Amino acid sequence: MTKSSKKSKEPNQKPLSQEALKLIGHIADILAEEFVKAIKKQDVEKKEDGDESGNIR
Amino acid sequence: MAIMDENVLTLKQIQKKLQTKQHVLIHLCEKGVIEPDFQETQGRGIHREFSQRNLLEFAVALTIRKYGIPVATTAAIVRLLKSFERSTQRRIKGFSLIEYLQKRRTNPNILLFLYDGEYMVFGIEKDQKFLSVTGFNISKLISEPERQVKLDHLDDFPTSFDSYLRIDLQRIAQKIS
Repeated sequence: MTKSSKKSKEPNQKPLSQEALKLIGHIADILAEEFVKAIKKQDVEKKEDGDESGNIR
Repeated sequence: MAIMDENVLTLKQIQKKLQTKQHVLIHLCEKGVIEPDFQETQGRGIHREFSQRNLLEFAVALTIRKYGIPVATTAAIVRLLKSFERSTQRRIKGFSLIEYLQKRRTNPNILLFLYDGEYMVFGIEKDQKFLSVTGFNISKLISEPERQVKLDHLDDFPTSFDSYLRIDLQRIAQKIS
């Protein structure tokens, strides 16, 4: 059987409040944006380096 | 017919990959640091199974654990990585943090720094040069989340702390591949 979802939650102790989780989500979103910018820039630079080194596209 | 899903890992498989004791892994689940992606209650017990992302989360949590960092801080870091992956998936379809870190050695790495156990820095690094350095007070985020924590876009690393813990995500991910 392929498992694809969480069926139930155990009564774990929650070390983080709902507000903290929300804030983490917000921060993570900004970090993801920075990260995607950085890797896209990297891809463009790689492409340009390839062009400069005379590689045939 | 039962179909084996190789992306689903048992506790035993995680234990083997990370060379640690099962009770340590269970403790991280019970403390809410790791939330198994596949979990169900069976009678009085709990049956847990884990994703590849959980594997990376365990590896990061175990690294942090060595330094006696509080559970809440560890949980916040793990949660940050989970949310970061989800946010990145909204921008890059099918993005998997563990796969990215394991397969793309030449691409930007992600390094986390924890200064004096309270200030977190998220750095994107390529060829020993940081493309982006962002910091925030993780202690305040945990204890006073209602007081909107400020995110600092830094030109350089903070110098007003005594010590820091450096977490190299690419290195951790490659160790468990």
